[in-house]
Amino acid sequence: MNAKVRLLIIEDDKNFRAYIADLLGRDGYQVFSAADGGEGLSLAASLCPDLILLDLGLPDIGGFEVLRRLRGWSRAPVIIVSAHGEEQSKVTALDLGADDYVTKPVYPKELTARIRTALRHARKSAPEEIYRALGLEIYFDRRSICLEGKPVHLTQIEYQLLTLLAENAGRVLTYDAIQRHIWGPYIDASNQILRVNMANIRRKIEKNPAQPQYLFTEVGVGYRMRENENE
Amino acid sequence: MSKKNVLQNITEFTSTKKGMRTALCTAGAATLAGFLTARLVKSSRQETETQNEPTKADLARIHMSLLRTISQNLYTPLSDITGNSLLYLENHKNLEETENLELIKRIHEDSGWLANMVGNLLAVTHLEDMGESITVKDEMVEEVLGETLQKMEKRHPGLEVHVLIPDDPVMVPMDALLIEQVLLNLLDNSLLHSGSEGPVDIIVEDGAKQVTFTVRDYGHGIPEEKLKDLWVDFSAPESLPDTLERHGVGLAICKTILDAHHGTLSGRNHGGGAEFGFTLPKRRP
Repeated sequence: MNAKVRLLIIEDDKNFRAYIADLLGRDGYQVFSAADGGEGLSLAASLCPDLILLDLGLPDIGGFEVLRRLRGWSRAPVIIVSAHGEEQSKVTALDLGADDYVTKPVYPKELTARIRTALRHARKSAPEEIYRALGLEIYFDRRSICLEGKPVHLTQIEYQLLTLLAENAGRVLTYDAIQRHIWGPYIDASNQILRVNMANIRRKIEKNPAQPQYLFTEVGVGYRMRENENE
Repeated sequence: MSKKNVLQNITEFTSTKKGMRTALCTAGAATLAGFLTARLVKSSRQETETQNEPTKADLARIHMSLLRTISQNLYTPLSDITGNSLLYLENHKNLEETENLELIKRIHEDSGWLANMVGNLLAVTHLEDMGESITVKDEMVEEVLGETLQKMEKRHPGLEVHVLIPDDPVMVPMDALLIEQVLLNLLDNSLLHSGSEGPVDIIVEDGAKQVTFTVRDYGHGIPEEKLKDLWVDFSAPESLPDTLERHGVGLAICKTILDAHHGTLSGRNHGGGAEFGFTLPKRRP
């Protein structure tokens, strides 16, 4: 028998906790909740949950501090629950080791997708061999990309960018993380080269670059690729 | 947690936090009112330099009328939510499934509208934080549009929009979150309140000095008598209506955001519906 996946939600708003517990409980998860950072940290230590949902605006210890302390000993995926328009705090939280974030209002489908993705990446031991979503296929070992069965030709940099995003499909990658991975630590901070490359890839795989199906922009934070249906 | 508990929580919430929410609403409205008063009075002053400066009493009056209209704008959907949810809580056992669904739909609609309105308030406080000159960054138009449409799709799944952009990527200096808010307001109006038949169009044109965005719907158009004053002119309080239509505030926010970008906003009928256009200058002012 499979034990239930255990989630811990650290959030001060009682109704939001109830909503999450109800939503995720229905999805078969076992949900524990904590109303502040102190309780959250001690529950995290005693329960060792498989995933933690963390609100940044907690009444006692700030969300960043909770995250920092958690990351001192735990590698469990952490998804940040953030309020509207806090782009900089999202980036900070991701830099501090959070795995992803959702913005309030939290839509059920979006949250469950983020949780599935984070759990999958945490469990994954070997990299994927194939990315497949809608009409797009990427064969990592053969270094080939097909759209609706036809080969797509990318430059070296474009290929590296697309496969990095595809290997992390479903999760947000910050501009910084992407740039360090592709160009090394000395790239300038304007993201200009990255964005031009992304625009070029979009023109090769998206029907309409302003209504993307594969490569989504999170303005001020980074990029996220559509979930891999092959996993 | 059992369903019963969840519902108890909600009841408790509505009774204990209602006062607090109203207070929050009013505080938000006050921020917006104060800010818009300052901006709009300033711009009307620039235009009519020969006229007398508004007196302190004028300013206070404008502030008060703004505060009243915006509070009303927040309070109406909020009280609808309270009413509809109570109706459900007290009567759901006696109501038909479809009636219950209708109640929840209305609550969902109102809360979506409130969320956008609070987005507007946050946009305005963001403008206020930055003072006179906002910080703009070069942004790729298709990325900003793409994210806006994703947000729209999350709120209203299945909405259809046609987007036409130039083949080459277009970069424009802007505060992306503020311009997203402009697009959300315009889309909200044209997708949800225009009675549009068929998908709304978004057209982006890349000019020599500016980029033009057009949001075009195929609905009943803008009534003749409203064409002259599309957004509320908060600097002329004597002309303020007692109750504002919901979209009036959204457009006033759009105007404020575009002014801060040295851009323009305009609205017209195109024969088969309404069309709102805005421009952003390509060089940083």
